[in-house]
Amino acid sequence: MRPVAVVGVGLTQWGKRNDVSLGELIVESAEHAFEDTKGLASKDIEALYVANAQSERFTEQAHPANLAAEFLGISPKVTSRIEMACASGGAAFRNAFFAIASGQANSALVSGVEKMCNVPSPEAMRNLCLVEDLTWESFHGMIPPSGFALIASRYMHEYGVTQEQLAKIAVKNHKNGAKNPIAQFRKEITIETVLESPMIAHPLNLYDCSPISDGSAAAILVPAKEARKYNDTPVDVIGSGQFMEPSLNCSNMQSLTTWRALVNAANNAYSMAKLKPKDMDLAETHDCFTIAELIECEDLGLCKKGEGPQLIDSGENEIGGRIPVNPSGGLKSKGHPVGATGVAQIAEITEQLRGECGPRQVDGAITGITQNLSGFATHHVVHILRRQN
Amino acid sequence: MTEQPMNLPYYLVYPESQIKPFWDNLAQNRFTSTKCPNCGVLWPPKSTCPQCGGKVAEWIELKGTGEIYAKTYVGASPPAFKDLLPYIIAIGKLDEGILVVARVENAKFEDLKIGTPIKIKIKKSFGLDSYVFIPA
Repeated sequence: MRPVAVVGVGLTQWGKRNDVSLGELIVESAEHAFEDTKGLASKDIEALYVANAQSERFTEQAHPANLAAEFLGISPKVTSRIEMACASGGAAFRNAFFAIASGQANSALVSGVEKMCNVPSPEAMRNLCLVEDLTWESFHGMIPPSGFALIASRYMHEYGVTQEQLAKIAVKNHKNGAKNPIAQFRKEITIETVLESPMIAHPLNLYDCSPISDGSAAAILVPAKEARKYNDTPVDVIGSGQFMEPSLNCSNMQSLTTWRALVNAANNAYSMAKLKPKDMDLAETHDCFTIAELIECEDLGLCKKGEGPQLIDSGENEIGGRIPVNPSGGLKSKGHPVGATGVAQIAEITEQLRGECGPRQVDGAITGITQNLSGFATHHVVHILRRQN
Repeated sequence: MTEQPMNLPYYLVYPESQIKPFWDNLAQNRFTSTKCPNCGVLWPPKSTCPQCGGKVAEWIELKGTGEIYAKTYVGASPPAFKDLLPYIIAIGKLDEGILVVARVENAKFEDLKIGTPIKIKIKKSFGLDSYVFIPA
């Protein structure tokens, strides 16, 4: 295994993108990523991983990896479309990491994309319900928010957290997202905005939930030794972990409130990086719902188990605090085009470690962590990035 | 015809061959699952244990009683469930130790606590054999 670095990242504007097609979205973020490098171009790409969850359902177009290759005008020798529902982006990045680390490719492009706003929102929700267990969950009326609401009810019982504390996560992420030019919702909200928004699945209201989004994100990886040729400030990928529980539905999870798959994925990543949670300067976590960010902070070790609510109240998770979480605005404010999310987390950490984030910059950040999940938190992908010396 | 919840009733009309007894038993008003010799009662019923990977052949009768383990009240849903809105979904912890997801009927959400006794009621849903929880 040879060391790997990120030398280019790119994002499209996220939100409703009726002005472009699925293929054009892929090209848009890839072009930004190439512009971010010193001289790399699409013809140089030896490995392509397309992270996409449901192009068949949302845009009636399957086979998005070939679509990407055609739109980008490349014929990579190592390639795949990666479908891991909401964790597709993190999983695709991990595959690209291995392609470079193993020596099979000397350059890799990860393209995360989802175009979800073509269909009415009830249909979008139905599509997302396909990620659940059809027979034992969806058939009973389970929806993605209700799964995380069940988790929230259990957390409230075991450790205690109020709806106001959960709302503070949404307020923080909107505050950060307001400073992110590509975010879907660039407006600040208040605790009242969250508490007074329509109930989706008690105790989660509309503003506890991430939106339906169109968007794309791209990252370019090369061997760390060659990285300075392509970027003055390369970012090394020093830890990678992935783990899933043997469970499509939530019935077989070891615990609803301590996510075994996340703890294991994080341990694997920390162990590879030879670092500890206290060494992280910032985190991009998968806040598909506010309760998710709370548990993620605990299971990533950014605070102790059961102390997530205190972390929220303390403000230490804000930009300028001890451990800023989701400075990009997170899924909540930036948006959640499913396949793109995990790649966008990598892009945000990369730009933060290079000091390029302007008003939402985490000062002096050297090491950052990403966490991307799918299902009812049964599957997690974690990466640790560090600015190259 | 009632709209199918997911447009894909495939797994319910043609269930996994190895767990066909579950649906046959359900049609006869019996709530059953499989039991792994190493890991105990499984839910959902499986012919391979997700925990140890071992083959599972034993079927057992479930008492169908237990308590609320987690609960939520759903206010937005895919089109197929809109006539049911708002509805309660719970994870019930049955006496055999398994966690089962189902809607809760004949109950007010405010009255349900973690630990409230519930039981399985076998009834049809979308024209197919199914089950819900009701207060015990």
